[in-house]
Amino acid sequence: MDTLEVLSGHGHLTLTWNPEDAVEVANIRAEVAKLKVAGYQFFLVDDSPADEVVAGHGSLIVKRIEDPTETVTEVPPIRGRRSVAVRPLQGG
Amino acid sequence: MDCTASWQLYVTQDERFALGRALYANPNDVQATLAFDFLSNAHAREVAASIAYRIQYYRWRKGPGRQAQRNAMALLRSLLNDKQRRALASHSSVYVQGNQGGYYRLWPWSGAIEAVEWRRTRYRARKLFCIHDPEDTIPPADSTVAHLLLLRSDEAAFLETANVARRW
Repeated sequence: MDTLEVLSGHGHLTLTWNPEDAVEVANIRAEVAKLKVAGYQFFLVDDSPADEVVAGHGSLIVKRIEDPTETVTEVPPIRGRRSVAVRPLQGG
Repeated sequence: MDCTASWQLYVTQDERFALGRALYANPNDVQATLAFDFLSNAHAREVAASIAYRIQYYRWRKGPGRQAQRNAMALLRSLLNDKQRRALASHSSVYVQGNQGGYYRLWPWSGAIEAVEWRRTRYRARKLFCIHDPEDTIPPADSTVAHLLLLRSDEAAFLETANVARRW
């Protein structure tokens, strides 16, 4: 299962879907498109180096996604990757 | 001088919370501070910051936002390494390095973020940044997650977006 964490006012929502289920992928793409229109920024977090970090090596690798609809629902999915959708931030 | 000590003698608890709520809703509300004209501007700002922090703290630690903050803390911990998790547990803050090499200290209970510099024996804060969700509806730990992701992926964009609220 792939996951997308959406940071909202209720703590984060975790959306999960089966990348091999076309209906679920279509639903998640629609959700991602809505979030993008709402101004959310998307980040791809690579978990595999996080294991190395736990052992004292490496560092958290994060990539900003410009085209979330395609990247988040990439097929085949890359194991250990998580996506996080963040509300737009502004300076105060 | 402890700036929170003297004003407590003159301001009732209800007034203190009224001021805090007004400033929390709108930090630039000058009218709210005029009722407390016996305070100097700098003093009033310190007081307001202290009250706003307390309101924020109770909202997310004890109030209805408690579960949201807990969920957000769990997400934050999942993005940290062992050393950072231990630091978070013992000091309620965590040091991270941006992708351009800058060091930052994140405070997930308030959503604050500071640029730090190593001086002799420890990190010292150099700048306090102001960068947040415009509607201010997400828990502070979720703001911290957003700061962490932005710093790790695009530190330059972070510095461009954030305002420097204070320098040391």
